[in-house]
Amino acid sequence: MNETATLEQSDTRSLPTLLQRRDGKMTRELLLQPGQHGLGMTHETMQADATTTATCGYCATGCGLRLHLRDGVGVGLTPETQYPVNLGMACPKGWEALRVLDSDDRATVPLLRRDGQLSPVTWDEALRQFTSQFKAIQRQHGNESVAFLSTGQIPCEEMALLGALAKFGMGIRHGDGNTRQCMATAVTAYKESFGFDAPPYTYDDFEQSDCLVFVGSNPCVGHPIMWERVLRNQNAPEIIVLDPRRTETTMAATQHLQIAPKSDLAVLYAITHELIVEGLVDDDYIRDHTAGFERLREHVSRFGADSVAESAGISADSIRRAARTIGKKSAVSLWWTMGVNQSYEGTRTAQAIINIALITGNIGRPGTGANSITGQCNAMGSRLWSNTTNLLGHHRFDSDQDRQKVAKTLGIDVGRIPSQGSWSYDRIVEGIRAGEIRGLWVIATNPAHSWIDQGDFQELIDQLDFLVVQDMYHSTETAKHADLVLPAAGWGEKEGTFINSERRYGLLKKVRRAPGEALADFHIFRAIAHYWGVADLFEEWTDPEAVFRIMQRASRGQPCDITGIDGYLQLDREGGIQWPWSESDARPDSQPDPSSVNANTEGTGTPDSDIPIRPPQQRRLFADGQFFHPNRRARLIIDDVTPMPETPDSEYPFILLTGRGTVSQWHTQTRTSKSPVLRKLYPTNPYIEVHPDDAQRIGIANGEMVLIRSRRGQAKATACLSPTVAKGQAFMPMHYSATNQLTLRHFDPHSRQPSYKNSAVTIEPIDAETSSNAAQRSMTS
Amino acid sequence: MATTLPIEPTTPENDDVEFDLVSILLQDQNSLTAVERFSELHENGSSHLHTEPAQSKYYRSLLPATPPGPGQQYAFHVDLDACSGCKACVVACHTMNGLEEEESWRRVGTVTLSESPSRIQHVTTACHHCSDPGCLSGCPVKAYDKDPQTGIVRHLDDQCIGCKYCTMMCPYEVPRYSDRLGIVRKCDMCHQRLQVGEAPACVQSCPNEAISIELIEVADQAFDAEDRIAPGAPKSTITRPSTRYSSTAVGESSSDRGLAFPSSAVAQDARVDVVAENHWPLAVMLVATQLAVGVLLFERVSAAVLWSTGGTMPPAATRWTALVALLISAVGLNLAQLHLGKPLRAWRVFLGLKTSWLSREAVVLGKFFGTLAIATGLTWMPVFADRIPESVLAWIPDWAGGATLSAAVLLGLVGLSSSAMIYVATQRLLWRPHRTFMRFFGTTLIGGALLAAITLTIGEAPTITIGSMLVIAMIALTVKLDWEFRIHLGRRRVNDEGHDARSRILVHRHLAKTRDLRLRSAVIGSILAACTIPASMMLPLPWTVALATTAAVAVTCGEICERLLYFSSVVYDRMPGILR
Repeated sequence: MNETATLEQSDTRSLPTLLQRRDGKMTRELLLQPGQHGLGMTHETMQADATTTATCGYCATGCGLRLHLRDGVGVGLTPETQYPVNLGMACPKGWEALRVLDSDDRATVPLLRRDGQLSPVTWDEALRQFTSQFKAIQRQHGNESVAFLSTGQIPCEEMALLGALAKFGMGIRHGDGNTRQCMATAVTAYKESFGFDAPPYTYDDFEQSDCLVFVGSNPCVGHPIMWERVLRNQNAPEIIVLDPRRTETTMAATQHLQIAPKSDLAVLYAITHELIVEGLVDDDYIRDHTAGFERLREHVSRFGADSVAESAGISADSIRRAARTIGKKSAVSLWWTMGVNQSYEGTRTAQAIINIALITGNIGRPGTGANSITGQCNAMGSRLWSNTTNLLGHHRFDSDQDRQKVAKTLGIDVGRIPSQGSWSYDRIVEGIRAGEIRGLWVIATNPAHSWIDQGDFQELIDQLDFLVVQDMYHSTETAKHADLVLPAAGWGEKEGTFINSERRYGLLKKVRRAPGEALADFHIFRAIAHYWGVADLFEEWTDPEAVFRIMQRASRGQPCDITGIDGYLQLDREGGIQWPWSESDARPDSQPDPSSVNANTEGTGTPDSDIPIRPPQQRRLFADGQFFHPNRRARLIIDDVTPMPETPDSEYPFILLTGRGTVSQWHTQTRTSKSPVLRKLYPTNPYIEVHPDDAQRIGIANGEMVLIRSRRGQAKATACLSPTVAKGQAFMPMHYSATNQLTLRHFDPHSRQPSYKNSAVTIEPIDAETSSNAAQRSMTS
Repeated sequence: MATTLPIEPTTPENDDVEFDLVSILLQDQNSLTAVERFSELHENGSSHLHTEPAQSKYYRSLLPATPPGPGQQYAFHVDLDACSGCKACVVACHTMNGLEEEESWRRVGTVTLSESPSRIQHVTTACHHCSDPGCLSGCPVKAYDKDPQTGIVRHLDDQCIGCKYCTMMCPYEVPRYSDRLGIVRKCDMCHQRLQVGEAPACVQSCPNEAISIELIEVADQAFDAEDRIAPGAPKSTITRPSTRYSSTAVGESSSDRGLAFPSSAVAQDARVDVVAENHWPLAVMLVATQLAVGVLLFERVSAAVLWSTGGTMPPAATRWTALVALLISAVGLNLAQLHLGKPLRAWRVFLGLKTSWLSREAVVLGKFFGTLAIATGLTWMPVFADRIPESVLAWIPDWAGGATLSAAVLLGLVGLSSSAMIYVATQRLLWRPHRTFMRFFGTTLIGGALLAAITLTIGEAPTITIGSMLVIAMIALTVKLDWEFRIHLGRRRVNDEGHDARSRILVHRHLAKTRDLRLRSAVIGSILAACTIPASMMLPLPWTVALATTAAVAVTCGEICERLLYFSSVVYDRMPGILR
């Protein structure tokens, strides 16, 4: 398409330049130039003298972003074409990943509360305060009276250092991450079913399936780049979605089971029952690789399609049809996200999904698996390396052997390692209520916004003797309650690794200078180690890559073994590497896993050479049907279905569902709200989706302000009339702090994950006389 | 919160060393490592040795294989079934084109469909590179260009005077004004990329390949009177947009008619309107020119009536009328310049005469002003006769002043009609011809008659003429106010869901102050005007003039408010958006 001729032609036709200025300063402002490094036509602001790839720091898809560098500074980014995760694409958050680093809300100096006001202090003063306040609390109330709440947003190396510093250095007993709010259920389900927290899949499975089942999952909004992979599936797959809402994902579904909230477990049992009675299970696989099938068969026989259909608000035929589809297709993958995880019976629901994959033999082959789609960029890093529930590297605190191993790996006295894991997040919160927790250190998370029944939480943290918030921004809801704010560098300002949903370690790059005196969390932890007087324990922990080497040692012999990775450079070269990749996997004479897709054919070792084998880019687990329980079998775990603790009644007639609002919003929006262009992509004010029939009954019109009340609190929001929510239900995005004023504080008993998506509320128009919106009502009614 | 615990002297063993640690960490924090450690790898990586952009393997199939042939043009095609609503296209457009902080040439709206099963659909939209672009035909300075081969409608940033008329003429709200630049900018379909065979930013960045470039036969474009490219969107017949939306998910009846959306589709922001820009310099300019033309008109008509009944208009009355009209139009026309982002480029405003009503208005009102200035000079010449050479006076006939003034009135009336046509041409329903002409000529009558009453009083014209002026002004004002009240000033309950109801919501919810001022000014003005008639019989002349002038100021204030409401309470069909 060469249009040079065209343009010349159009020039001759045009008016003289004096009359019509076709060029000039303003036109040149938008001039594009051929970009180097395969970038194509590039605007001057994005011209690069070099590029490098970093893993995105928002969700657990783990896209590769190509950073445009000028004199070493990241001046812009585009999605990385070659990265095996995102294939040259990114969602708006990724595109704006650098922009959110520039904000007046960045914390640039440590802030200490004096006379009720947070005021700037030197790092020296901040670190002395940190040490002295926490030590004083510990001396008075015991070591366990100081706790920390961390995150799925910082790299593995920082998590490992934090976990080791807090538990082995500072004697802290209890620490948990915000991953409790997103992934705890999947972790617990996998551990119990597979014997290890091991999501078995690789993104290539999205493309290989001939049937995909999404339960409580809306990847179109939550994980749009995973959805890209679904749309690249060439098998014209059946797509079955279980979701109470008509989401974007259900639009593409061939079967949408629009179930009543929290009827998922019963429906999954009914599907399981249908599979068994129809003889659509893989008897050989059940016999050879699973345990507990008889109990499962007996249990699900109580979940006939007809009775379940009625309570779930769908037809029995739709259940039978879904079961038949799952049973008859050859490569079925089942995926779940927060609709399952954030549920008071989420662990058992996840396991019901796992059971279906196991009994139909849909695991370990391309296009199969019971697959938890992770939330945060480093949720899996938190699971493996945060040293909270699990001892570093997914070891057990209560195992002498594991403690010895980790102590030896780290070169520390085994006595420093506690023999019990941490309290869970909710227990730490209850500890504050009971006065057991007096000091709290919050790192890169915003619980004063995100914790369930937020009003209660905000009151509790004000009871603390000392609250430290370590964050990129001084303006988070939690930082406003802090006694000490430690300014942290963010993504793009530091190095380290994230582990994405498909177990892929990806690299972060340091391409921006942190503002003011902000320091990488890694540096802050090192500084604290010194001020606390335990620097000698961390002599080897000099930089992120040094810690990566420690992590490699700690992973040896674990299912998540990464001893075969040849440092950061190899991670960079290969476009990330999935665990496991052990020394023996990398040995030239090792046999590659037959199920893996090897995109790396160049340079692959041969038995004759001594060049290490390059890791195939798409690898999945359990090809051999060997699970991580001692008997190598997967367990089929079942439980009773329990009713919602708070059901709608005449006073609170709606079930409030919560979740992701738009692709451009991330969690509590501490970052995404800092990008002007992202802010244009979602409603500024909190909004609540209500079915038009319900809205008419209550007397509210689209765009009007409404008051939503629950037994916990109340919130104002704009009414968004949408037939995509069922009658009697309402949906509020979690990104607005109003939402968690309403939610009911209850948890999955196994995973301790909060159940955010089922609270009873009432919705009413805001007083017609005082509201400026009253006019519209009187106009239209 | 928090009690301050006693601070324990935890002085580290060696203060200096500890202080150094923080410095070392800060220093380390500020050294950037990516280039030295990793980038060489990427620079030398085999993938980047190709001359073709790396991304081209994904978008190659999304571009037509050949450039447009005769009768063809490029067009966006949106596969609605593939769009999952991620809005990467919006941000990629912003980033890859180096646009301003909040600027993107793509937007994404949301629609829902109530039919069972209900649906949600996102609609990505940019410039539609129309066959009959409103922006282009409305532009007074030819700052738009439709490429004859590609059909791409380009905005010429260095030609734009920042009049914002294209923001009204484009029914799709595509051109957006930049305060920093003082001009509008819009989507150019990344013509610089297409030129070298690369895909536009939005096409490149869609993870689901939902946006592509296709070739359309312009002659084959067929639009029914009610066709709209998306729910709630403007009628396609206005500008003949080239973008094609397609979906297989719609019911058969819809897809048969080539529609991508079923009739039940509703935009998320349906009936949620925001106050539009009030364009105050324009409002003042319009009212001022209308008053000026109006007062001249009434003076000329009165003069004609007096002449036909054997009387004469006193020269002083004509003289004062011309001067008042000149001053008022000078204020109005100069204020209008404030509306331009780049006034120094505005001399090119005649370029659009062929297609643009704005161009016509500017040129005709310019001529009106010039003619009026001459006429004013001529009518005032006798007053300064002793200072002017005899030869000059002898050369100018007596009737010259009156005739020039009559010419100015005619030019003025053409100018006012052009003003009205500026807004009528946008095809916004609330600015349709009778709505606009009623306002513009209503103001001309009301304000003109009232001002004429003043100037004729000063010029000591017959009382019956002055009285007629006042009566005409009051009747016209009453009729116009009642009409406005019925349209949107009144707080009536209505059943219709149409534009008037939406506009009325804006007036009552967000523009209540302007509405109240409009009503109060009109009522006060008409009471004062009514008092002028008996006052003129009882009070000395200066008192009458003062009273009438106060009435005129109040009425003018009311008319300006009316015009601000005309602009700011306008609602129109638009592409689907989202709640704000």
